[in-house]
Amino acid sequence: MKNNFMNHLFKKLRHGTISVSLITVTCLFINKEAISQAEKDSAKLSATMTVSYKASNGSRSIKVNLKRKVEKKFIAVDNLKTPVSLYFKSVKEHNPADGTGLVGKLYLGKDGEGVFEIPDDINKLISGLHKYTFIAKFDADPIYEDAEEEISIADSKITLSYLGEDSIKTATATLYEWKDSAYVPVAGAELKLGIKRTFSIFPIGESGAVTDSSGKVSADLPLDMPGTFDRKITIVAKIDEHESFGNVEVSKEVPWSVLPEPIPEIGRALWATGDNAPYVLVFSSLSIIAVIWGTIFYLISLLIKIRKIGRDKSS
Amino acid sequence: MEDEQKNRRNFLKFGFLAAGLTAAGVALNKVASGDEGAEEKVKVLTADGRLAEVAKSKVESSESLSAASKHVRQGIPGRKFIMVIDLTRCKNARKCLEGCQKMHNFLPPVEWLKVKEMQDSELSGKYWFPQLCYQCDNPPCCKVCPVGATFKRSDGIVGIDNERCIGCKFCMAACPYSSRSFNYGNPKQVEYSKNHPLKSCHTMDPNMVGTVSKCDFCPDFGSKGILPACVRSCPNGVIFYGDENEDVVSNGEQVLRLKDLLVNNGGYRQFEVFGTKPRVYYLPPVNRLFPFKPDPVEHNQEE
Amino acid sequence: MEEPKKITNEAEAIQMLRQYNDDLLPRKFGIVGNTWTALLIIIFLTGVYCYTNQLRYGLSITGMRDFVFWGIYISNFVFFVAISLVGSLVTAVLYLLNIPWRAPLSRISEVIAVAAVIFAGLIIIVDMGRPERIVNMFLHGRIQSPIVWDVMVVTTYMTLSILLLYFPLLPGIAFCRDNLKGIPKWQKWMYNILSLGWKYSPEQYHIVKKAITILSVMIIPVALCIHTVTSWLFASTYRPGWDSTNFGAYFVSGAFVVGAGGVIAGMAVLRKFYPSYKTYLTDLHFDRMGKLLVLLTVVYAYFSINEYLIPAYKMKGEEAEHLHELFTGYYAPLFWSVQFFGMVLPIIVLLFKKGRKPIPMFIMAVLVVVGAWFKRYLIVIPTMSYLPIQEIPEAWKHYAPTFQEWAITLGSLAGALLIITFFVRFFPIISVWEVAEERGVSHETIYKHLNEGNEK
Repeated sequence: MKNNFMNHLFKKLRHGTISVSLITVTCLFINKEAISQAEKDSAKLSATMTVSYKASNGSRSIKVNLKRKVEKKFIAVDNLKTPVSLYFKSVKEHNPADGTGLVGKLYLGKDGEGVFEIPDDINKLISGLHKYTFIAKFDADPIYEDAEEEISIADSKITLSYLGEDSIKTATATLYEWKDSAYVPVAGAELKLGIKRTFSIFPIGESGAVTDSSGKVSADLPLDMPGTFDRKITIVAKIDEHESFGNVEVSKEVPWSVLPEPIPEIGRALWATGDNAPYVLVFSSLSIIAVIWGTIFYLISLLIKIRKIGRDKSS
Repeated sequence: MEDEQKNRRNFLKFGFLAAGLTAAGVALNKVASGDEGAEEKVKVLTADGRLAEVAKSKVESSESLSAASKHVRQGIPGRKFIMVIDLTRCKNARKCLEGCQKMHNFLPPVEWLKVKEMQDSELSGKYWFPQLCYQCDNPPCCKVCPVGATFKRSDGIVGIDNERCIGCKFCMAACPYSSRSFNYGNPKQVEYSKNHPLKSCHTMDPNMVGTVSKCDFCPDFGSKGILPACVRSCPNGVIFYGDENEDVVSNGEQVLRLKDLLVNNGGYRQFEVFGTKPRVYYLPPVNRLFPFKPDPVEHNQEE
Repeated sequence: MEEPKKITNEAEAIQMLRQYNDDLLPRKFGIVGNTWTALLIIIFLTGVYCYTNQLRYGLSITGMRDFVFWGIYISNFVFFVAISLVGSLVTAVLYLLNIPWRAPLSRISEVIAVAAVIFAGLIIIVDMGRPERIVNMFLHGRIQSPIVWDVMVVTTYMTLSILLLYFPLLPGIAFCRDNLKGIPKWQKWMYNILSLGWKYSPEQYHIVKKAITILSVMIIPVALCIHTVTSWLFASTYRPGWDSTNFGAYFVSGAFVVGAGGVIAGMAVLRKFYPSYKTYLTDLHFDRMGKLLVLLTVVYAYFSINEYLIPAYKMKGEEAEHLHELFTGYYAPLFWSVQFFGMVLPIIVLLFKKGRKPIPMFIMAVLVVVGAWFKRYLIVIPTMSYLPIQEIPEAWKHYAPTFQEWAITLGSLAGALLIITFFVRFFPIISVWEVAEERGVSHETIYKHLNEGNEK
């Protein structure tokens, strides 16, 4: 009884101490929080934003990249808690406060990069404009300073034609820009031609070829390049990081006769799945198992027989 | 534990789906048309490791998911992935393996891709040798797996089903290249996995304790035409990757004809004598771009 | 040393059988027996406790890492498989060859085999990272995998061994049922169930004889398979020291040696603690087993020479590195001790008649068994340090088993010994009827006598 009482008292005491210490800790914590918040505001890391534009077969996208400098080297920022917002400037004056002109918000990936695919409705707007500006904004991040970057693009167009004879297969691309009220050829621009592969574009023709006075570049295709299994190959014409056009590319699928090596069927093999085990292995192992386990079951039946004899005798 | 796994799986589902969505250019249509906030948004992880906000209704209505998981064991149709590592260019920058670790969410000392000193014979020079899973065409690991948890796909990739692996480690014994890692449940890694539960790989879950994992050629990148993480991280363009059927490989900058590259530069595979038929070729370290310098830091000393 | 005379006189035979029954019935342990059992239980439970830790924290509690991914669990597994082969050797081979002194040894060897093969099966599960997925073996099993073969053959061998232990034991269990007085109820009940209503009838007896013959014939190829397949787990890889076509024969021959050693050690221990067994486990038995052990060890030495000397003659690549480590490097002290104490010394000692007395035999047998355990260590672990890449950090290839790993391994050894100990405690470890038969006592006489005992 006495013991119980003491225990109770002790508990109460302990409880009291705990609450007091809790309060102190909370105070400390709040203080600390406040201080560190202030510290953070003054010592945010600066980040550099780059924005690039790409039009591929008419669908547009904006790529945003965020980097920071560490010991004279740029490294990608990662683990961002805040998304990057992209605004289209020309719809009406954009307003981050109420979201006017907002194209979208995107959390950058581990490599500090993100791609905004421009949605169809904005695409429609753009097509009539021939000149357009996007603004990417990154703000209110707890770790990084705010960053903002603008990109302006002038409209351009590439056409691609292909002439496929037996021994010569030529691709020709023409670059146009919008001037006054019509598309006119652009001379002296670097226009690349290539063959589309899964991970890359295989360049064809001279490297560094520029458009002639009629805005054209031509190249012969390598005759031994394998196409797809349905006898097609895709040729690509593109300009990279042009100061007023950005990245623009068009592609075209053309008939082709060189097929890739046929893919062999995965037959029965030691490394194949269990269903595709070699017949010899399956049959030999099954027969061994059948013989041995057959005998084992026979032996177990003998045990049952012994038991039966025992029962019969005793009854 | 079970719930956690379920969550993880759901996240993966969203992952696949979001991959499909971004590819289709549907994602992120938070346009200034006034319907902002009208629809509930969910955060999903795209297959290449990006977080994105997608309308919830779109996540649930997608049908691409089941097809994706079926193809995990089959492989991407019509592809035959191949890698060429140019030893003349490697200077042990170790960016490839850092990129790999980051991409696959695992911590050192686990290295799916190793860069080690190599010297073939007494008087020949030393060079840096990046080594990963060779995705062999006659894979000894797949031969010995008792449950088919590691399997060969039609696109050449050797995958691992971490939900099936029983952790017998026989595949590790069978691999003559020691390119497989076992998840021993290193507490730091377990903790890290909890905080980074999202996967980008649909063939392999490197964070599952008690199972085997290894380089998988980043197949989900492959399906979208993105080069594997190591290739993109290498500052010197050492690693070329491509589709053998297309006869072209690329290191991100250069794009070369595969056959010309191998024929003209004496391409070889490690331990040809074993008959494992690796899908990774090496270009011999002749006329190297960087003189061999021993690494001053010994990496991965911890256990 | 003379072989005991055959008994022809029926009265004499019955007299002898009575004596046998008095001598060979299982009885309560003394202080030594109880301490021994308690010790084993403690070690075993420590192992079980550590295994629960392993289940919780994963294999990170072991010393295994990416490059040394198989440790003492696997070498212990190989050891268990090896020692379990003795069942087939003494029981089956000697039985089929009609060796006159094998009867008192057969049950000792068979119980060692059963205990070892059970723990072989368990320890391989301990090595798995995901033991709860063992069911995948049946759901998704691939017939191409040596592990699947191993699982099948271990299960088969376990079943056959248990049957081969059980069939000859039936009369013994019945006899315990009928003659042991003052035993707890559960024990009586156990004998009742296990004796399958044995009534000493000639039909039952006939069935048992038939079953033993079938089992003896069948267990030999299965026994060879179990250890050959275990060797293939290693030989089917490309690694130096494992990549050997000699491995099956090398493993099997080594297994016979350690198995014979195990039986000899068991005989000596039983003789020491059950003085009445001296009449049954005589110097003659030690002498014969000693000779057999020499023969087996010589065969083993022959395969060992094949295994090490021919690669050493060529000294190719990684193989050379591996052999240097074994012959003169890091593992040399262990390697040469194992070769000398586990192989050479027993051959020399057992060649002499004086060496084949129980005490020196016991020492040699222990050397052989312990040597064999470390030999398995040397087969499994050093190989994994030779890698296709050079300049690997030491931490990657260094392997030192952790305390918990040792505890689990020792726990498994203690567990196997516990099975044997409990068997000795509750069942006749020497088969009366087989010994009697060996002495020339006819079935009818045994039948008559046993019935008499039954009626008593």
